[in-house]
Amino acid sequence: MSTPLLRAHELCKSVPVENTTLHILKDVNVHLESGETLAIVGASGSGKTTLLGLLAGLDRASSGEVFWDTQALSALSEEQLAAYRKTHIGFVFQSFQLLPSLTALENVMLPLQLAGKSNARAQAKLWLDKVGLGARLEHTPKQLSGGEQQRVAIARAFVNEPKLLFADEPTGNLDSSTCEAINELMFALNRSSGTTLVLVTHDLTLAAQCGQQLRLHGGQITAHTRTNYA
Amino acid sequence: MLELALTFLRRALFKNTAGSETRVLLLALAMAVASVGAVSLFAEKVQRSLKQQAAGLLGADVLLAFDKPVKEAAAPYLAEARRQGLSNTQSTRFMSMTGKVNDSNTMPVLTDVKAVQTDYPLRGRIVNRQGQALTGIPATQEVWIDERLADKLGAQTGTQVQLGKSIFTISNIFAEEPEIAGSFITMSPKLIMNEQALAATELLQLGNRASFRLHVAGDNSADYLAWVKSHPQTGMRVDTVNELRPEVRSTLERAEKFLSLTALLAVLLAAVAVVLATRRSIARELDQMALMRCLGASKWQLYQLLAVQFSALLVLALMVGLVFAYIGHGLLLWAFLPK
Repeated sequence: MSTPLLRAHELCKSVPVENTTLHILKDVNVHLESGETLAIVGASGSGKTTLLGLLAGLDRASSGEVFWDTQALSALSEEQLAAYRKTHIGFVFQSFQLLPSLTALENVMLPLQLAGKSNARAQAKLWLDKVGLGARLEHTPKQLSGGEQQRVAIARAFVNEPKLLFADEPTGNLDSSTCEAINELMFALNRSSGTTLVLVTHDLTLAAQCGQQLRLHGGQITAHTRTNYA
Repeated sequence: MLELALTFLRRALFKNTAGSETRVLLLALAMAVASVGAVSLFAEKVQRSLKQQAAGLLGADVLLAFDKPVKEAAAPYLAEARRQGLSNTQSTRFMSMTGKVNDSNTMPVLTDVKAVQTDYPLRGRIVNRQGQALTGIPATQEVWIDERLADKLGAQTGTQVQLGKSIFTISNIFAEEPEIAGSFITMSPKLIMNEQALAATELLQLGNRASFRLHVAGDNSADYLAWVKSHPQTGMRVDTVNELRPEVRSTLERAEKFLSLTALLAVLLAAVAVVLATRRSIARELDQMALMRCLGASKWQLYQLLAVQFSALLVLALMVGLVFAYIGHGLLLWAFLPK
């Protein structure tokens, strides 16, 4: 059996609230091979985003462990985690999180510049072309629609050719037709670049397109489905 | 990282409306530089001007008075003044009786006589009744007298007066002269003559109470004064405006204190503006920094990003501030100093 690209073992997250402890996640297990797609679904407050944050190394688990390949995240310092994210992880957020002062091109260039890549401009142009925004390079986020902003965010997430892509409600702020276009784009890019995709969503149609679906309720997995696509 | 930092700064300053804090910060920094710069430049000019005007009261920046002729006593002090490239001249000051020639009805008058050499005065000027500055010094056969002496003697330009064994023609009557500062002898009417004519008057005999003076002036006269004070000599008195006239000194000190306080207040106000603008700017930057951290930026990269932005902002503020400071100090000079 090959080593999974992303694995979570007995993952727990709790936070102290006044005199009690709030358990956000309890004994969550995840097993994801390279190139697979995983949808985390559940009601608001079920712990989806917390789980995504733990899997992405943005937050620390109270107990349990997350592994990227064979590397346990708890053994890595904040700086080592940041260095890993820089080269191997991409993010797409619900509210796009583009830097308002930068143009579309500069936003996509950002991960490459942080990674010290010399061909940042050319690569960023290429990815903006791929998401259909080749003519909007110099436009700032304010000059773009929500769907266009999310396309820029997707180009930014893919530009570093990450092994793992985390998307938190990527279509949560978009209308249904734009939503469909963004979903198609994300999966098309996922297939063409072989990226492993983890996404949090309320959208069951979107979740159904993923190879695995985890349903969370009260911080625990209540259903784990695998779909085999030809 | 440099390119990225400069892009952020450029956008915050010139394009992005959300970056107004950065513009406020730039403005606050520039205003801090401008206010401190303008007040400092103005204060420096006022102080220099006050000192120069005050030096006019003495006729020099530093005045060394000896009880023996300068040639004998002042040689090392003269040599040091020359070595430091300072202007210098000499004079002899004493009290004597001045009388009108061939006029037995007019009593001779006790006069404060100053026998001067070329270049006198080094600071200030001698002004006639018409308000014109007199140039040079009296010729050897001439004297210049002040208005009081002219009144007491009933003398005019061209009148002949006797001083010791010599007779001189009055060639100018002056209304103002340097060295209004000083001791009781300034109460007497004044006469200025050429020092080359002094010996012939035979006024200075053994045991005379004349004061033989070395006048020194120049940009670094403070260094010279320090040197003089470290080489004291019996029979030598050192006069500076500060020491000679306590009221001038206290005015200078008050002016310095007031201007320093003004500058301090300007710095404090600007500092408050800078702190407020910085807090707002940093609050705005935090989201940006968090996102970049998420995208994998190291702490060092974020420090670099902020440091480059703030350094560039500071340089820009300095440049803008210095321009405003120069304009501001010009306005202050225009508004407060006599034309």
